[in-house]
Amino acid sequence: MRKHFFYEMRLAVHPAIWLLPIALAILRVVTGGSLERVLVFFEFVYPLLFPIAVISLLRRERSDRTFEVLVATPHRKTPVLLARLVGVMLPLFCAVAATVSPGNWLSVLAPGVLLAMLALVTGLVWKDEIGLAVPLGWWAVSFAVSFTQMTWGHHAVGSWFILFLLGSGLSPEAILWRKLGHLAVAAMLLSVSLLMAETWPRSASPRRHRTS
Amino acid sequence: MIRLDGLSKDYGDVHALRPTDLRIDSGVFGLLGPNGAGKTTLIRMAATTLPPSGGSITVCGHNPVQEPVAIRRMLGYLPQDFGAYPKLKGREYLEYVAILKNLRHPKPQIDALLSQFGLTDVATRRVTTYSGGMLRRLGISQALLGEPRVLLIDEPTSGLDPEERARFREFLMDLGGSRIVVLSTHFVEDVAATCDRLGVLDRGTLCYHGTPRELIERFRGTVFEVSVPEAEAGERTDTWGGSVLSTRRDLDARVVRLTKDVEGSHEVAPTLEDAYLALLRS
Repeated sequence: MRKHFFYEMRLAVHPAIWLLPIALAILRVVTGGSLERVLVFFEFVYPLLFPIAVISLLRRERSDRTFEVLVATPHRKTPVLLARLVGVMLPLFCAVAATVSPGNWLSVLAPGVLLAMLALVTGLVWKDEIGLAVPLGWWAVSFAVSFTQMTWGHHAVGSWFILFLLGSGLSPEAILWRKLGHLAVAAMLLSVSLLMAETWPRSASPRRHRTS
Repeated sequence: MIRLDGLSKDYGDVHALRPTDLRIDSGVFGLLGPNGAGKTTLIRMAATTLPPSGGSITVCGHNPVQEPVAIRRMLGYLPQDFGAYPKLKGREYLEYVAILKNLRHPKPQIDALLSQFGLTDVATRRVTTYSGGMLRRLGISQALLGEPRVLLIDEPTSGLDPEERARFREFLMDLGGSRIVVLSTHFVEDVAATCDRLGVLDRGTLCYHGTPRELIERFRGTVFEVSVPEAEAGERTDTWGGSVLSTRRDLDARVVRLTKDVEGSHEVAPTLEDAYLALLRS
């Protein structure tokens, strides 16, 4: 069990990704914690990394031509996918933890986790390109709304769909509720994707196939 | 037994496999056909990695759609497009596959397979440094882990040099016995050397299944050989058109095998390759 988890963690990401949290931690120490001043920037940038990392996880299995063998083994695919997700997300969580104070973790992590889980579900249901396009589209709309400070995005029902709220003028309590809402949706999408993992092979059958 | 009843697979308008009935018993079964014939599609459906569009398939009594795990427990599978995780070393890759196959204490088996396929010396090297032949041997090693009852091997000799191919054929001959081995290939020599029975697929249709000898017998008396001067070879083979099976150079002449009795030709005993090509032309 432990050995399996170790293998999955190794297969999930390149060890070089750990340079990101380490570099950010060093930067934080060197700047005396002044990274907090650009918190809004991190709220925009970090969520982009999560869906990219998740889709690269799905995509690599096919580009390395390892997918067919994995599918044809009797081991359950849910723990495989879960362990690999942990492997991908852990360095990103650490990067957030190294950059911002614990009080702001939720603000930065929630949109990232939400977009990652959306990428995972859409990637499993359709294909990798759609899995990346849907969350990036949501990110772009949220960015545009936040950047132009559209009123519907911050003070109406629409604010629940906007990923970036730190500069929105909403009360800290309202932001907290929305971020928790994002995490709840992410948890729901994760559950769906784990349920789908057993049929991952079928849903992820290559559309461009060989017929020999 | 692998049993196909009207099994078919369509990709939109493309019929990758038309409704097919087939029984595959213990022993080495060769699945022969040109590229695009539907061999890989059939193998993938048996390997539970591709759902059928119609009909049904059972592997040792289990349906791949309803009971995929039951099949995967007894399955060894070498896909056509085999790849190994580039981060892992040869031995690590086999250890990882052993975990996925739920094997306990796989080390002796891994050692034996590495030795059998001449990979012991490179077992601690990353798979990215492997040649095509080594990777193929690693692929067949992972398929054999757990001593599976059903072995599906898709184009195992593609990319192997002649020596490796010969070694692989020897190994395949020993594999049959109580095991079901399905070997998909477009190399007639591989089937001739290793298979008890074969099926020929062409454009998604199973056009023959039986023993290699029966296929040869079917075309006995219909294969001829003629030697033509090199200078006339092009013109004359054009005249004979689709009846030409194969051509080989012999000093300053070309020896043409064909399914038509032409001037100067004599009847020859067909080889499996002649019979296979004649079948595809017919």
